[in-house]
Amino acid sequence: MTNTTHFGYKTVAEDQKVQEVAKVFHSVAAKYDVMNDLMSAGLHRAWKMFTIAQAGVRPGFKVLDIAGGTGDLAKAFARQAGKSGEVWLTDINESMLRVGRDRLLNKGLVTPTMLCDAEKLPFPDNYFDRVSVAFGLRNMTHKDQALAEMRRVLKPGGKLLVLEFSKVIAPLQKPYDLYSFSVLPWLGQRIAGDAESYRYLAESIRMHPDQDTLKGMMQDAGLERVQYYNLTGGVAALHTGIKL
Amino acid sequence: MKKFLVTTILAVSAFSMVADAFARPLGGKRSVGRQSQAVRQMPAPAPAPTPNMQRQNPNQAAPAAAAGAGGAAAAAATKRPSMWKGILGGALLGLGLGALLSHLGIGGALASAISTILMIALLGLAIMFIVRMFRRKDTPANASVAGAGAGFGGFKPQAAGGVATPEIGSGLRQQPTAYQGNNGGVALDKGTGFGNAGAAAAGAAHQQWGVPSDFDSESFLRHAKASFIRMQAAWDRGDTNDLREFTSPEVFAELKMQIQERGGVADFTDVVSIDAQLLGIEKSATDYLASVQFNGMIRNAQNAPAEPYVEVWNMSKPLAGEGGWVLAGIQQVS
Repeated sequence: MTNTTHFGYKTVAEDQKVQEVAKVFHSVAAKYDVMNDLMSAGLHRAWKMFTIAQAGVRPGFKVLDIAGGTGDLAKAFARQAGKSGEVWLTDINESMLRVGRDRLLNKGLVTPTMLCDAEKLPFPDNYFDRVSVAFGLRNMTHKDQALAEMRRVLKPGGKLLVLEFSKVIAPLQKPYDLYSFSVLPWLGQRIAGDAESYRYLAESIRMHPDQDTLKGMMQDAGLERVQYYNLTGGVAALHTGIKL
Repeated sequence: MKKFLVTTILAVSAFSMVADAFARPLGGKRSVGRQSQAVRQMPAPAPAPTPNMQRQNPNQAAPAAAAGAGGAAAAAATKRPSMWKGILGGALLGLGLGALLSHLGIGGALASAISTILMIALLGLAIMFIVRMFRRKDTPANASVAGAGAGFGGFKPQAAGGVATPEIGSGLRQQPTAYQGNNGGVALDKGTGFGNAGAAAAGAAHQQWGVPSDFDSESFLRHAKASFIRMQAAWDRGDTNDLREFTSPEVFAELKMQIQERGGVADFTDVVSIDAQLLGIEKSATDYLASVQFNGMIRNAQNAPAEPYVEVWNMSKPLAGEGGWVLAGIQQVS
């Protein structure tokens, strides 16, 4: 029996989702940052800055950045954690990880970089002070399993930060729909020559659990003091939880 | 030096002031160990990037190497930053002309006719400029190599196959035809290479210098950057074990001496940004010598402003055996 899951609005076999997601990111890796800036009008930077501020990384911290992609969070964490710290940049997608690794290197940061699956983290229990995942959870097939893994590798007292698109507040719903189903694929086509990937993006955002559902999932995974912050009217939300 | 003094004065605490006075990047900004003749014979290097130019680093790389080659392309490439000045100037000129014409009382049809002619002329110039820019972009991705070739008497990049380094995934896999174009007479190439003796004589000093076309420069440079950063960190800590791993005995001896002179004080080097380019690979009787030019910004004290640096590292690797690339010399180019 094969389990099925959603890939955007399509329903696909679980193992197929992994491949489809990989295809999307191989396709967009090179233009990822340009597109992020364009699509979110630079807002993704503000969201990430907020996440970095909430993470409060101090020198010597061990930080795991999951689905770190092009390394925006890892770059900031690595500077904050300093030479005594340890910041791991990981992603399941090789193309994205390459971009991130090279970018960190060009900023004088040599951090361990690893290709790995968030659902099976190759780290010991109670290892990290902070675990972050920015715009990555959405693409994972078994979100509950991934969250449980993130909790496992956190030290007691460690904090998990999940930055992800979320459900916008009601007044914004209409323009947001129009934007993401008409403008986004068009932009994707013009800039990255790939409308499909961006259509997937819009669809996958709709399929992602809303603020309270995700909060519940994090609590189910065993995280405590789970709270969320709506960013830009709920276009994105930062969830944080602590392992006690 | 002035900048350095200012930095020192600006340092917040007395303690960091003391530390600043000793802070020096690895090698102490001196030339150490093996020096590459080919690097030395390069014309004056491109100036170190200023903070404003940092964002253009990828572009920066090409002009720097091309300038090194001294080719005509180099002159054009280094002028690139002035492009916007030109366009802006054009726009301003257009506005200014309109104002001037109306000021002179030439209004209506005549003024618009004159403006049109001028605008067309400007447009023509702009189009020419853009076409030229795109032509330049059409040249092979590693313009630096091509540029170096052009400068050194028609040394074609693929002809450099003779100095390929088999150990790093490059090998001598080229088809024989590759050697037909060889007018440089590179070491391993027997027979066919000497057809164009004139050019060979002209470029005699640089014949063996270039990057083999099938050399994996990208990953080589990535490792070079990583080891640059790592060795700066090892240098700061005074970690001689780590330094020994990645340096030739001569360089290691020099570095160890400098660390001892420092008297156990930790140094501070923060690489803020780094860009590297492979200038060329030479082959001697026993080893390969790859010259890598690093440039970027470095901070020598905790809250000091980052300063630009340019340095050539000569990495060597034995022709045979298991040895990897080690730092054989640091060469100051400015």
